[in-house]
Amino acid sequence: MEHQETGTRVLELVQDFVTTADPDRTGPVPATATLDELGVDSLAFVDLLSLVERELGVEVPDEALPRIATVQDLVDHISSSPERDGTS
Amino acid sequence: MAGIGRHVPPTVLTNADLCQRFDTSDEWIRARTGIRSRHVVRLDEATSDLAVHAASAALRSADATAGSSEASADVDLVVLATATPDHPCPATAPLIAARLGLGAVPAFDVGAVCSGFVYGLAVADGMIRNGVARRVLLIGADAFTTLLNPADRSAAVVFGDAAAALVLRAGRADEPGAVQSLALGSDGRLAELISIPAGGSRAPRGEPEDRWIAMQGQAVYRHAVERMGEVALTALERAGWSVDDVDKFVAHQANQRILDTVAGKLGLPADRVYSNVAERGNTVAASIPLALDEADESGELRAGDRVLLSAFGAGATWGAATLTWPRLGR
Repeated sequence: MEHQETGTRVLELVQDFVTTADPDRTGPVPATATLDELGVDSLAFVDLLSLVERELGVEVPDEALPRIATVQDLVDHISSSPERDGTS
Repeated sequence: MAGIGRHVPPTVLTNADLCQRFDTSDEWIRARTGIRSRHVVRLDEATSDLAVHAASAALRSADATAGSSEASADVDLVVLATATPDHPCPATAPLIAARLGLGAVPAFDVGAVCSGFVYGLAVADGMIRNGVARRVLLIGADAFTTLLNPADRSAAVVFGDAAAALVLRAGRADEPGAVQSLALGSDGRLAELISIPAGGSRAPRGEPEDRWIAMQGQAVYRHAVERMGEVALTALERAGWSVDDVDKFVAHQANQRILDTVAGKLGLPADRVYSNVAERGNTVAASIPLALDEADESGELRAGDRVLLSAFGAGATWGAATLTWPRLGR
């Protein structure tokens, strides 16, 4: 998947995730927003990541988790992460 | 299963107490962990002190269940699940057996941290099945707050101290209280998720800051929800049960978020998920037996209930078990 296409899909998934958690939230999620600003705390972020990984078939290593602060960080890490091992 | 008992140290540490020490708030702690307060040991209390009280209660319960004092007299093995033995060497179980006056019974520790109780249950079950023991005192006890870095807010809010114990006896496989199935696993590639870097043979002395527990919270949560769900399904399959057969899910009380997420993944409604984490925190190896004892006492666990246990801990280790709840004396 191209980086731009991945970025669009990740943004859609983040949008769905934050809207489900907070239905009062309106307007598009900016890529520059931090997850904290979107009301996604550290554990909710793990739930979001697991959803994005499953949808896009990639796996972000544990070591990267503390480095992901913004939506754009998430897009970048998803784009550069290896595909999930098909046998697992 | 023939008896059960618990002990929590009297000192309570509330979220308000933690706010005095850290830049945090009751709301922040509750939102992330679901914990309001936890019990902690005093400086002069060790794991064996908690364990002896819990074991005494379990032995009284076993006597009450049997209607005689034979139950406590006949214990022929002591297994202690703990990550916080009184000393690095020797094991703490023999000390507990001696303090309880159990005589020259075999006694040893099992180290699987938060999965320790399920591992200990598997050991006890196996020892009974192969005839090595007929009546086992299985204790889960930890004074984990003794390992917390005073500067580490995220660990301080999570952990509490406690002990809980079961008496397990030989019996028929179809009796209430019999372990129906077990499933265990580990992945040492995840050793650094929750670890104390120094103090073992790899770094006997180390830097002072490496003598405290270090935990990668997000990664722990990520692997915990995955493994606790998977191993629970394996235990259910081995018992021939479906998720719908489960009356009560008594999981390791790590934090409320993990309990909710694992239950959600399994498709278990909230009323079938037991939780005492708000008042107890994460009590490591004591967590599951403490939850079982409190659920039994409050009536949330009733004789005949089909119970699913599941845990994840440092190692990484994980384990699950199924059993039908017995009627226990108190």
